[in-house]
Amino acid sequence: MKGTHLGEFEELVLLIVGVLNENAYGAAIIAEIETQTDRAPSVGAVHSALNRLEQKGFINTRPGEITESRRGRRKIYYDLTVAGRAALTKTRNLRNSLFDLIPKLSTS
Amino acid sequence: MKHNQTKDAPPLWMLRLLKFIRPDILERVEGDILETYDRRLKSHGPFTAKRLFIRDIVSMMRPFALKRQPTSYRINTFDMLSNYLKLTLRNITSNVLTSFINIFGLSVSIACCIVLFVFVNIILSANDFIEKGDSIYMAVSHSVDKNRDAFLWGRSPELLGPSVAEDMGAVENFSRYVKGSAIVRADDVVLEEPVQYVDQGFLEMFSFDLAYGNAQALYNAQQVVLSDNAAKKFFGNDNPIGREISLKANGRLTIFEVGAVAQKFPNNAYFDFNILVPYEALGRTEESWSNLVHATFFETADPDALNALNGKQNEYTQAYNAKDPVYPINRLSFTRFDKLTTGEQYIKSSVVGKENPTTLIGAIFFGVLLLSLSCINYVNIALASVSKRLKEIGLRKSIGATRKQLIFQFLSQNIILCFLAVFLGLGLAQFIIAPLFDSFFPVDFVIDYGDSVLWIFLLATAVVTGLLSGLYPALYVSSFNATLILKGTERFGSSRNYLFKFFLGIQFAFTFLIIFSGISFVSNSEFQRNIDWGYNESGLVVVPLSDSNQYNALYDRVSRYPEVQAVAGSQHHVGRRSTTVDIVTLDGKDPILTYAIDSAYMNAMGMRIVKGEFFGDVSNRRDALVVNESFAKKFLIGEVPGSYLKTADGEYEIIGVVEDFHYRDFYASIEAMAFKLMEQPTFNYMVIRTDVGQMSVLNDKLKSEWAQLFPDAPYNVFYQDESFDEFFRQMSIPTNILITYAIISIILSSMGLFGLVSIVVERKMKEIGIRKVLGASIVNLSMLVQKQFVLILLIALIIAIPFSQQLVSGYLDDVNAFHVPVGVKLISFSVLILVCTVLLTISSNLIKVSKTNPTETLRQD
Repeated sequence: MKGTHLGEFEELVLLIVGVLNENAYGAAIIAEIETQTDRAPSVGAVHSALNRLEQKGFINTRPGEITESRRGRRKIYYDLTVAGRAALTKTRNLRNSLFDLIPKLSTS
Repeated sequence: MKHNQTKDAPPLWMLRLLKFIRPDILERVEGDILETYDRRLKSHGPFTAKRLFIRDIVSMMRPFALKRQPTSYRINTFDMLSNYLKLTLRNITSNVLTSFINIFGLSVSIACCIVLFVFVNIILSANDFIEKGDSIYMAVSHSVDKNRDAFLWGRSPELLGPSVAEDMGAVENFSRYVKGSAIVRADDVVLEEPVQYVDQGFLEMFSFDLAYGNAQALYNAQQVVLSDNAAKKFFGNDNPIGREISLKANGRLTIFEVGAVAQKFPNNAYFDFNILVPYEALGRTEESWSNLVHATFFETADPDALNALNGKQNEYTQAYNAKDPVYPINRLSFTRFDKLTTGEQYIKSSVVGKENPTTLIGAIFFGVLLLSLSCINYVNIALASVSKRLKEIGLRKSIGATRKQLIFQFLSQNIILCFLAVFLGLGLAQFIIAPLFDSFFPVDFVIDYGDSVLWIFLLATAVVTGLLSGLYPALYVSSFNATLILKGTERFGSSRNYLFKFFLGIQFAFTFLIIFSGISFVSNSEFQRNIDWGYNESGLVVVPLSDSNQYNALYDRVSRYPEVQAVAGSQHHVGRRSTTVDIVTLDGKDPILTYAIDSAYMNAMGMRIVKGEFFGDVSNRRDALVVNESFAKKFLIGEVPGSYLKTADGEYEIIGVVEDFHYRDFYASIEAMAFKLMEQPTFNYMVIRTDVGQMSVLNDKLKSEWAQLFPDAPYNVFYQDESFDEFFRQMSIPTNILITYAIISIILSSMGLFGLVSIVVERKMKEIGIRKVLGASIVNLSMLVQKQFVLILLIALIIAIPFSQQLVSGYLDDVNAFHVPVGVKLISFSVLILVCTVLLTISSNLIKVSKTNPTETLRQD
């Protein structure tokens, strides 16, 4: 099992999974990243990140339905695990506390 | 949304690339890719969507997503391959001799192939530096010769260029090309140089790289453009832009300045120039339809415009044919510039050069031939030495190697050998073969290592020769029965011997063919050097004159030299310049080659009279002809003197018949020709006869005399017996190449044979040992070994001799009107060389046999 550190892109994907709540699956994640950020990640990049997140235990999978647009391929939904929520909180706290330590950044 | 709209459908077949993806995530990945595609199709349009679709598929090729191979299988493959490599290297080191023969032989032939590849590349890429090659067209005249045979002609009427450019809007540019010669002077350097008169747009149409100046230079009527070669001759390595250069042609002197200088022409230039001069400087008072130019080029993006000329065609051709020229033009057509070097069309006296297609075929043929010689070596040695590896094969089979694996093993080992040979060959080509060919050809053989085609060629050569030479041995070797091998009853099957005998026979036959052609060419050039020229060519010093007045001034001085035996003057000269006179015959007129001379010329040249007399006593007769024997035969003339002949410009009496002599090189046969006296004394040549030993003394004297008398005129004196040197130089190219080939193929075949014999001898060591003990002499033993090889050699020769003779004599007949008879003498000489090589190769092995003590070989078991 790999460490529990979150890479930048992994963090983004994990956040999006959280944002989409019950409806996070590959294509939806890509579409959401495209609308929320300026990036257009490839399917390979997203699945690579999802694969690592799953190995680290931050997300679970759950089979979904079949749609016409997917030409009969079943969706796989991803849900945040408790560990995943904890990891997100941890990174946010770390970032905030470090941010506050920067002198004279807030207002001057 | 509908997915059956073909225009917007994703390239579904590309999903097949995902077969490398782990099956557990395949479904969701495919679904995501397709869904994302549909979304992007709506938001970004089909093009972006498809592009990103492909990117998405490719992006899945990352380690986490790929199928895992079973780990044990992977390691096994790797071990197997490294084992093969190790075995290959061990095989090389344990059989030094045969490996050396294989690798060295292959690399020599690959080296030759590389050089031939460079050569073929030059031919195939001919003129490709002319960027507009696909939008420039050359006018081609359809004409008929005196035998009414149609032919294509590179020349066209002078006014065609301007007329077409005016009549057709789509023609963007045109240029005529007229070859001439001028006395060119820059500072102290005075030389007679070829010049080319062209129209303003020439350099804009033909993108020759320029070292100095620009393509606009020709628009200035005061400027000329020099080739790199000409610039070096007159100005050395300086930048000559703006320097003064004077041209004297047709008696007129014009001062120009240098406007531009071209870079050295590339190797594949089949169209070039020496000095480009503005067309107006040709000094024609009026341009007319009856004048011909050597070529007319048009530039147009729309070839249909030129073909639409049809309506105007008749006007043009009629305007030219009006003056009843020797070669009337029936029709005009236009050939694209880049097709001039590649197309099938043969255009007579085209200014754009073209390699003979047989040269190309010949180069490829010989390359393949050499490679197959070394492949045959490999096959034979592999087949003969298979007994050494029988145990290994048996063992491999019994521990479960499939036949496929064995074939793969042998093939991969062979391909490794071939790669080794390719790298060695590259070195050989660079340092030995290319410099060798450089010395034969006027072009440089530069191996361009940045050329990707070369590397593809090398890779293909390695793989193809590896497969071709290895396939049969691999199939054969892997077919043995494992139990029989290990029991020791499987032998190198006797039925297979036929095949290797067959290969050896083919090799002997090929080698004979190459030796025979080499020897034929050498003896042919020897033969042609010794041909009687029909007159006394040695001891003749010829002075080309640029001005008729020079003759008298020079004559006064030269005729007083003690070593001079005779002096003559002429307008034309044998081997150089001639004219034609139209003889009126029953079915029209027949242009006959004619030389205008003075009355002393024929005696000075040492020509031999057969009937009648030379001009000597009748020097005032302008209506007399002396003809050659071929003329007499062709026109069936009667009494000499006393026969009369009608020509286009009056009646002539034939006063003498001269023995046939070679007025041209030996490519051409001797046709009917005639001599007549000059109309006015227009002297272009002075012919001086002296002793052969005195020629260089005379040359020195003439040179200092010339410098005093005519400091502004070039000194171009030559010896008549050197006038065919260019012909011999050209003939020496194929001769040298064939000799190189012959030597290489003799080496290759004898190396292969040596390897074979040494294997055979090794296998028969025990038999030889027993025979020795029983008292066999070395002669008996050598008979034992040599018998089978000599038999193969005999059969190969019986087949090869008639075939080679046909091929070589056919070629010589085709090219030369006068060549050495391809007969018994040449054949027996070639046979002798081949037989001696074979016997020597075999005997060198027997030394080992004669020296070994029979107890050594017999003690082993």
